[in-house]
Amino acid sequence: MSGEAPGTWEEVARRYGQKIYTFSYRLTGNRDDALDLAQEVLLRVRKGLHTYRPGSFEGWLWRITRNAFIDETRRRKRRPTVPLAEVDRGAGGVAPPPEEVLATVRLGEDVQQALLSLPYEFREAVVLCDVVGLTYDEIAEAVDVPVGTVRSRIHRGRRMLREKLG
Amino acid sequence: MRRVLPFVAGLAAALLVAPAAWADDDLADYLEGAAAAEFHGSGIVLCTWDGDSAGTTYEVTRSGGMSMVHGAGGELMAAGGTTATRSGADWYGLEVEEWSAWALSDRYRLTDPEPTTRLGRSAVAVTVMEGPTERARMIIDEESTVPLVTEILDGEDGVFRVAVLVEFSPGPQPMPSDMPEMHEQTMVTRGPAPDRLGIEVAGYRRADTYRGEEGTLHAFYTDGLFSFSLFETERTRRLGAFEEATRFEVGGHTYRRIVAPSEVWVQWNAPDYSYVLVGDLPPDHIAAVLTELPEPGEPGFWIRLWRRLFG
Amino acid sequence: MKHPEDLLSALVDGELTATERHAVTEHLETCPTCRAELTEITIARDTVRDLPMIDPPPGLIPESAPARRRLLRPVWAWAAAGAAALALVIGLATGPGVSEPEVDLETLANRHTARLVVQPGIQTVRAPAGGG
Repeated sequence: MSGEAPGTWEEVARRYGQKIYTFSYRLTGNRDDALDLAQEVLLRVRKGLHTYRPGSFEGWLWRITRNAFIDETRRRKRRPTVPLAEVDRGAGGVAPPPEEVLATVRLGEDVQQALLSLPYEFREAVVLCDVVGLTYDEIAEAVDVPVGTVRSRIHRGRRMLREKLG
Repeated sequence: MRRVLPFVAGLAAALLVAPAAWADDDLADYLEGAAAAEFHGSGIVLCTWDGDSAGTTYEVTRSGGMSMVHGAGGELMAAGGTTATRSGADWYGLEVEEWSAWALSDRYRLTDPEPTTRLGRSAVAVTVMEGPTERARMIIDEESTVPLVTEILDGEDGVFRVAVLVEFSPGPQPMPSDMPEMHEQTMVTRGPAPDRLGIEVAGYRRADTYRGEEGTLHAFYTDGLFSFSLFETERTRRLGAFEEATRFEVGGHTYRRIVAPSEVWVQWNAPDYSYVLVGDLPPDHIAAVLTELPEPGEPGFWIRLWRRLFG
Repeated sequence: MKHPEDLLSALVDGELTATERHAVTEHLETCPTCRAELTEITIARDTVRDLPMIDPPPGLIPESAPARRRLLRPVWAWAAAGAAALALVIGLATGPGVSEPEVDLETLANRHTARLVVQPGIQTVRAPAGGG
């Protein structure tokens, strides 16, 4: 990752748009929420780009993304977690039809569901590390916690994931 | 030749290097001994290059002329010139028809081995010197000559790659009697090498050139210690995974790189062809190699237009 | 050394100092529990890293060249057609089309490995080659 000058907001959007959207989707598990969030992030980048000072551009960008995510979550007054519908279906014990199972596995949805079941702090650390590809220092900067906490969250998050995925 | 016996390779090594320059015999013996050793082990391999890093764990079993490597990233079996990799439930085979003899470059020298122990076994610690530069540090199992720890240095005293075996049992191992049944098997055949790809590139010898599918040219370069493959294709290929790759500069030109645990990938476009280099060589060697290969650049406008219209 | 736990993920991510790395790898040699844990978290890490990037719906990312709608008078039609033809020519000359095949790292990795394994070298003992 680098502190390279980001250019115009359109360039940022073209270069990071897909990553921001993927990050949002992996955290929320919902395409509409992911789109709202990605739009909010790009809006904040557009407004705030003149305040960016050479340093870690990625650290800056993901701090904005992360803050937008938290604000959005507060606004909706709920913690991002497993959608209720999923919980209901699991508890009801009705097996989905085989073609649905197949489609789910193919899209990596089993992994997505396992991610969504992690407590937020752990999910965020794992996604920033393994989906977005930030270094531990950049994650510490984006999330505003010490690097030791980042280490611990990533490790515990991965261990929980492994237990869920069996 | 289908198989190269170690002593033939050793002889060829002596004959292929320049007169009055001899490869380090002890290093060659260690490497050849390790390549022929039978053992089971598991380990970790980590690679770091300017903030890009990758690591993985793996398990390796070698016995009766067959190798099996199992890692989080995949599974591989190799016997003779046939290598099989698994994708889903199916195995895909590649058979290399011919290859030239292995030869160790005379640029490496080994320091005197220092006795030590590792994993409860007698071992020796050695440093591979390249001129005045430390290139690799190894702890080698004395009996089998398998490296239990390998650290590759970046030429500036930094560690570029670390491979550590954390479990090691030498001796014959239970192995499948045959290669798995292949879903598909491809023969890799030799092809002519164009002049634009040097025979000797920054100390690496072009050992073999193969033809790939869809006109891809595959040149395999090695100095006996490190190796890389150079793939040359038409420029019209989309870059896929390289689109998002880290950019870096060598000699004022920009290249893209992807760091994997065991090897590094470099991609660039020269005016006439697109190149992908993959190998285990350290960054300063990569930089030296890139300056001697076709440089990045764009073809003229009318050439681009002609190609797009008429192929 | 007690079980290094958190440091195992940092080890696989290349986020340890040389001293920490030596301590952790030495511990791994004698501790089957940590070796098993290292394998488990490496699998989890690779599983998440293998998740595909997701294409956002159209409209989120601005297009490279913002299209400007113009009202054309008939007298400009020929010039516009000429400009469009020129744009097509420039487009054709500037980059590969979307239908072109992609550089397939897996195939290249397999070809490299198939040749590499027939000779000795520094990587006699190593993990399978992969696309990163």
